[in-house]
Amino acid sequence: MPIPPATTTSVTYFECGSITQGSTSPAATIGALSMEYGGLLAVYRRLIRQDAEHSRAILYAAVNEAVAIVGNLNATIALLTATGDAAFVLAGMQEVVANALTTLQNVQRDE
Amino acid sequence: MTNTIAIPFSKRTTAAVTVFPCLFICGPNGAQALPFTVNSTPAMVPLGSDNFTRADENPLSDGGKWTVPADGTPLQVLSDVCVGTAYARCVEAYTGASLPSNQYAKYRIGALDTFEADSVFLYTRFNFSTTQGYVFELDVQAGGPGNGLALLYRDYIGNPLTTPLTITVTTGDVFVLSAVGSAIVVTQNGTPILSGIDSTYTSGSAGLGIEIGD
Repeated sequence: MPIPPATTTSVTYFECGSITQGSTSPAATIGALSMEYGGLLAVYRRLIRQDAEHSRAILYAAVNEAVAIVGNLNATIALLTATGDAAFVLAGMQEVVANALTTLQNVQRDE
Repeated sequence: MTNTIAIPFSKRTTAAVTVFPCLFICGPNGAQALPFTVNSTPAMVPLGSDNFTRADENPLSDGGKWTVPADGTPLQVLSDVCVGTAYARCVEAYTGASLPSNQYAKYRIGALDTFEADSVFLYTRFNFSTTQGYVFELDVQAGGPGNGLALLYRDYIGNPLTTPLTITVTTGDVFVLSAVGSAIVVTQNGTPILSGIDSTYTSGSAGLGIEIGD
């Protein structure tokens, strides 16, 4: 027996696709930064709780995830451009993220 | 078009990490620090879509672009919207496009159930044969617009990637489930609401599900 759409939850549009490089959409950049921010928040919460000896394996896993996320963030920020004073600030941010990635990779190597 | 993004960084110290970047993104009305003109970026590129505007069909097919999983209960097009066909979790995989590892799935809510609590599902990197992959479940209460419960988990059974979140759902809301690297993120009308980190699955299909009377 068909279910009348007026009485059930319905969907009016579906879309799927790829997330890729090369566009000039600011909204997409913000989306990528949002995703990386969400990832950083999640892994940071895990990292700060994993400093006990028995949690070493979990800590290492979290560090590995952090390396992946900061790597993605590094790639996203590396593609941004800015003009004027903002260009200097952006360059500083790019350097900070690149250094953070290097630091995390050193931690990963020392595990 | 210029978007303003404030990105202060702070140092965090943990047992193993000495510098950790903290990124903050402001909306158009949020506190702002540094103006940036964004010129180049990752992008969401649609590879398949369905507006369900056609003659009624059961199961949902669109010329073979949708596939009912083995032993699955199909969706249907009825009066130009997509709805379930039974009081069960009705699911179909979108097979009209092959998606890369970094992928997303998106839907827009139509009517909300006036009598029962329903659930709507999005799938990414999902293997509909093994029922493994990433799932966003939106549980909506009966009676039209109101509170909903958003859940992000792995696999059909449900291994949570993060804590469920209570949200307000209204007709026309757009939800996106994206998987980029190990970041699995859900947005509601463009705002991130759930995120998890998981690298269990790196490939699979997108899909849609509706469960009536959950």
